[in-house]
Amino acid sequence: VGYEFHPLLMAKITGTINYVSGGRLGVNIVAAHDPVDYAQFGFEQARTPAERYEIADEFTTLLKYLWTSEHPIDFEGDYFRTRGGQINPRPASKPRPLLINAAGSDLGIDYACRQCDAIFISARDRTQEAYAAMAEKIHSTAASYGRKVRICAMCYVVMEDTDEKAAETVNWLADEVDIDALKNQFWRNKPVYHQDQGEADDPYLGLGLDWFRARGLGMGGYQLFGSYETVADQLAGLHEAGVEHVALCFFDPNKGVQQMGEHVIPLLRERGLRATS
Amino acid sequence: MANPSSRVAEAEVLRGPFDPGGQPSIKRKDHLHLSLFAWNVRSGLSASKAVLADPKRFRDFWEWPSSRELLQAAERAGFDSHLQYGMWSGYGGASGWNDASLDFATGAAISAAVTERLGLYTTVHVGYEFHPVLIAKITSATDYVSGGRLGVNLVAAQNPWDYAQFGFKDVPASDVRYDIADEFTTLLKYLWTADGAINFEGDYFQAFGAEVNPQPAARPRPVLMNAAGSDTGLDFATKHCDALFITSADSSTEGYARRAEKLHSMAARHGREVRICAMCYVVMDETDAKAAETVKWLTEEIDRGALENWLIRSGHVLNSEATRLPDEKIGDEREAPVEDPYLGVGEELFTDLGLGMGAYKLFGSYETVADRLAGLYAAGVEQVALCFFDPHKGVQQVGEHLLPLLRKRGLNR
Repeated sequence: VGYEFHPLLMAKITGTINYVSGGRLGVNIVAAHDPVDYAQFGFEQARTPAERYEIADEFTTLLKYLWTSEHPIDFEGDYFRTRGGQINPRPASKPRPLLINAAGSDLGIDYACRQCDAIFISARDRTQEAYAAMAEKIHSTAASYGRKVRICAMCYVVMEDTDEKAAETVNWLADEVDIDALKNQFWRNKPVYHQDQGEADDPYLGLGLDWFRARGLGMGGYQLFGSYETVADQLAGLHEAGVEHVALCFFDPNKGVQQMGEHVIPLLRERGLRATS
Repeated sequence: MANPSSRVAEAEVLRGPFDPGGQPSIKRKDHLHLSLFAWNVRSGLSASKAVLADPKRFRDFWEWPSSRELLQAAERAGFDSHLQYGMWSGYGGASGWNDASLDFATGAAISAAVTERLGLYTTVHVGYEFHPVLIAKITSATDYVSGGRLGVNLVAAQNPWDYAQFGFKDVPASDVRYDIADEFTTLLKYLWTADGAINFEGDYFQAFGAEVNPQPAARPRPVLMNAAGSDTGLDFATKHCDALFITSADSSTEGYARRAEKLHSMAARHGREVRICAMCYVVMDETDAKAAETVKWLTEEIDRGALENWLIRSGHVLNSEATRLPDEKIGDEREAPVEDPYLGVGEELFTDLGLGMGAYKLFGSYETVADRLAGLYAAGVEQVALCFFDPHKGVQQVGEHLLPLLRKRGLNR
């Protein structure tokens, strides 16, 4: 959102895709923080968190007006203006497409709970308890605004027939972590995700082995490593912690999608986590 | 903060001509390139209440999945490409002329997904401060996904209503609009073709450590199209673009030939080639008489209210050899000629604009239309963008009747 894409441009594109797809589009709003991307769009530095979320807030308000208004609107914001702004076709989804957000800071979570519908959570120790506590916090923030939210989690998946075979793959991936790429990712995201003092000559960038590996294998998301049964159990655990939506990223996506259909989804049905039909 | 992961090249802030890697191939012998035009916008170029006789067919063909069928039928019929009409606001009136449309990004992407061979021309406005990195990313990805089938029609935006929609108070002067377009295009070409990240510090656009990946599949880059009419616009178009639309004041083939000649010589001065294009409005039938009946009906039903909005907002006629309309006829200062049935522009121009926005008229039997296209081709027109009053039928007629006649005349290899 911070790169000054006009909300009318984004409302037009997202409205049209939602229309063409018969209401299947949702939009994940990111209050951009990556200084390298600000530079690509011509900005000398990234915006402060306060400014980012003020922009995101105003952007989202105008986006919702444009998605839902039957008539042209005038909007005079601090960051965005339109006179006679209108899109046609409007989204097929009623009342509007779902909004997703993955904020982590209190400021971001406040924005997400006020404006969005599906919110990603994470926890550095990646325990079920930590996810449950985070989900609780978000539900109560949303409730304070009279809103409901769906809790989501990003997961990194390496599945095999047995835990041992999956562990072999995981060990291989861990041995091969691309430390230069990770270093770049770490420094670019440091203002947001880490207060750690990264050290260039430390083999784990000052993150410690565990967090270093978690960053390298799934960018700090929840890790689903093991047999199909193990993964299904872990997903059941997340669901119990309040997670209602998982975004699965596979090391081997073509194989992973196949494994889901053949193995994991049947197990999730058995556990009552998916409709049986 | 520069991108630490790649070497960054300093990209000089050039103005055109600028063709890194050369110009795309745009010439094809003995072939009149056929584009299906304005399939993505309500009513297309028909500012006529006649569309209300069968709204699904004449007005709402842009809707999904009707437009999907239209694109697929065009591909089967033997069209070379489609061309999107770039719209951010319509003109209302009793028919809701152009009031709805599939946007430049979505329309291009979905057209890539539902066709195999058809060329895909989208229309992008410059002037509303869409960042070239954003547009380069979207167009590159669409070209890549489509296997190199995308072209981009660049419009130096002049519609005050749309500037207002994007939060601007005023429309920049013509020379500023084309200076922006020039810089935009330079940066777009850098991003499409550069080997690695670039720094670019222009007067209007800045990008540091910018790159898109994937880059376009088309080599050296996607074809750029333009429909400028003014000398300032033509200067930009002949320096930077590859396929240029022309019109002629009197709609004569001689007028088109003169215009084509002028553009070729302007382009040659920059060491460049251009493909000459013309926008056409088509009403075809088995006989001239039957086509004339339809044309008569469309004319009687011209949506005066919609046309009035168009005249006010566009501020000029598309007829690029005509000078602009007198100031008292256009813009906010325009006297509202409420009493005048032809909105103060005269019956001929009123009709010309209502049926096809001033495009070349292809009215008549299949033979007549084929002859007229052969005439345009002889005048130097190598690509026509066809807009039909009845698009689904029109596409079918092209496949069944018109293309065989064009083949006979040696215009479709």
